[in-house]
Amino acid sequence: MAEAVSPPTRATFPGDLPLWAKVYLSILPIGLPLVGLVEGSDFFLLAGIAGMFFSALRQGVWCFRLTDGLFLAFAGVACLGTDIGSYPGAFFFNLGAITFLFLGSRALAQTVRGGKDLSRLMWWGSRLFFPIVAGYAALFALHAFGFQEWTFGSFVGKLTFPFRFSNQLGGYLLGALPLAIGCGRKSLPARFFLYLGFLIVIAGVGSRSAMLIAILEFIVLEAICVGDDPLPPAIRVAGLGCLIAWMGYALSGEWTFMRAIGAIDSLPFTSDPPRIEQIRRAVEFLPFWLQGIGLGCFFGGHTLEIHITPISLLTETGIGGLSLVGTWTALTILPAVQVALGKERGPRREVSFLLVAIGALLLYSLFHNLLRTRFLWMLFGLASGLHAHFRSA
Amino acid sequence: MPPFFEKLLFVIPNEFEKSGCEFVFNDREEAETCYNDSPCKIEEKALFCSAREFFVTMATVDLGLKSVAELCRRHRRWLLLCLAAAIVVETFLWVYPPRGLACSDTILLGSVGKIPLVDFPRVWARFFNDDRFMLQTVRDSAVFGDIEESQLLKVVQNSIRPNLFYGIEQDSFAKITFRQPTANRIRGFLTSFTRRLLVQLTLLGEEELSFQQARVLARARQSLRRQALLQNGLGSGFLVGSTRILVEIPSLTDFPPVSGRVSLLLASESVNLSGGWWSFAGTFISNEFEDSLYNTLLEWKTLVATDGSQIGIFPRSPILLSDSGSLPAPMQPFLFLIYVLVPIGFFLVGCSWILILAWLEQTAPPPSAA
Repeated sequence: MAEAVSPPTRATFPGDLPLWAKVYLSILPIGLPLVGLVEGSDFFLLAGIAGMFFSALRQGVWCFRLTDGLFLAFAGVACLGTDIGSYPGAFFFNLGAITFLFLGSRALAQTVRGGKDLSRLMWWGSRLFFPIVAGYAALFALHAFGFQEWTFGSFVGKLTFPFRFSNQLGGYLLGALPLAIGCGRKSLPARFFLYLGFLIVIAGVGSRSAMLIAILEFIVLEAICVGDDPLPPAIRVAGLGCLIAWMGYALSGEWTFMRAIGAIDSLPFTSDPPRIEQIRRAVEFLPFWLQGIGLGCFFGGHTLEIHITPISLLTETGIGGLSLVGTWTALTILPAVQVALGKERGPRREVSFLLVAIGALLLYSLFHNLLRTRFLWMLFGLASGLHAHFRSA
Repeated sequence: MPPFFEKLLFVIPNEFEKSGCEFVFNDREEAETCYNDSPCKIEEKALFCSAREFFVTMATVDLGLKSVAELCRRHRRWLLLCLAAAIVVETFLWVYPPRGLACSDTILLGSVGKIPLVDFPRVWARFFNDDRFMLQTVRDSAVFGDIEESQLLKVVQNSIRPNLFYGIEQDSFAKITFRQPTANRIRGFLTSFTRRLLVQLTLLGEEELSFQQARVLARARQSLRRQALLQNGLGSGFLVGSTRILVEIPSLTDFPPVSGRVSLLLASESVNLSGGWWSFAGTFISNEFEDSLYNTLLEWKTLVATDGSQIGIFPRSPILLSDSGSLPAPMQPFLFLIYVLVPIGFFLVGCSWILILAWLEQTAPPPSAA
């Protein structure tokens, strides 16, 4: 397949990763805003974007991809919203944030020049996963043994740290687990230890969708790791089942866990009045679904976010916006799917874990609005970086 | 099946990566200039792939910044098409602004003692749902032309009622807003509707005022009779020299009363207890009732007063505060942004299309393979 590669610079050689990418991926999980909604990691991403533009300007060449065109079209379609005149602040903020994250993913993609790079980036991206999980597991042990004063108020409500909201933590955990498992070959005990800590934290997030996706993720991850150790699948499944059952028993007194399995109040598991209300309000905008009401304008008008990303996109950017984002997503991850299925040469194992992470977050996006989730854009960046790698392989 | 795509590629094997990663170039010159400081081996490879592979792999296209102008020149038809589409949409949005235009009339409801005489929401519900009233209003406004009643009724149902609403501010200000996609019908209908509603509010307000006056009058008479009864029943003289009330109560026959005929005079506030225990009890009870009488008379004064700053600012009859010449305004405060963003949006869509065309051109099969 034809691919023109820009003249190699230091960053394009597979020997080392640029500093900004390493720092950005390392501190990405610290999702506490410094000023407004700006996080510490954003500055490093900005450095990467600036470097990308500087390089393009110096070389006078922009390595254009089809996904770039689709994003440009999406930005254009987003400008056609009907209610932008009412909520210009919300519109410009959302468009700016998404453009920034897109450019960031694009800059990150340029750092992927081989399977080793992908592996390294995944490692940097999941670097804080173990400390977060181990820290919470230790706090949970203290909590379980009655040392409440040492838990810093954890396990009283939903877990959020080191993020601002619990669903951000949930999204990060779902995305980072496959990366953490996929960096090097983890033994079965190591994996199960990670699953154990992961279950504690994901239960503390108190989200039904996160809990369901986590269990699904275990199964898929174990299916990928099936060749790593000689244990037969039945024992793996039994082990996973025991782990989940034991955690269920241990956490049965926790409010967040009960919430995560939908066992609070008298409402059935699948009932979700807030989301039903969001959908009802979104349907009120049905006449505007052709062009949308404007990116971010639903929140601007209702101070309420639609927690279902596709419906949010449909309402705010219309059919055009949703189609473009859908196509963009498919084209970004399809090559990775080809690698994972063995139809293309490439780092199949790493790509499989990357796809599990993306798949988990795409599933999670059906229950939460992940349009501005940095970690998801980071994963897209890694996936789109594969083009350069396996095209040349 | 013939390959969808075939092309000659120039490949430099990558010695830094053991996995076999290579650098691929579209032409030899580019490959040669890439490693000008370290000569390396350039291999030629023919590439064949299916349509599925072609689209899935998404070859990248190098676009020189200078070549963008060339691209725009080459695809100027698309740019012109985008420009035309932007102009059409802009014109449409100019005539039919998103969320429409609206005009408001503010009515100050007639009130007595800051309490509105009329329950505006009930009056609104009464006339808003009245087809006859609405039809007559539409006819009076003459903005919908001379159309059949059934058509007019459809207009009322579909176009007027969903866009006509009100809000109450500070209990006494009713703000009636009428919204339409275009400006030409708003003012005419709203003026007609407000005028007709104002007539009804005035009538209802006058009626309510007369009821209130009658009620207060009855209470005042009752209070006075009670005072007289106490004075006569508990011995004459027990109030003599203590409290003397002179009230001129107009009869209902010469209604409405003229202000100034009511006066309250406290001649003396000293209490005379020389009449003994009966006198003491009479004075005590009378004193307790006096407050009620005083308030009733004050209320009466409020109901019939025709001068003073209160009545000037908050009259008993409803008045229209808005000027009937006020023009409709867009519903969106920053509507101008839409007129700025629409061309930008079309420009971006056009640019993306041109870039995609460039990508297709550069990655298209050579003529020999077609």
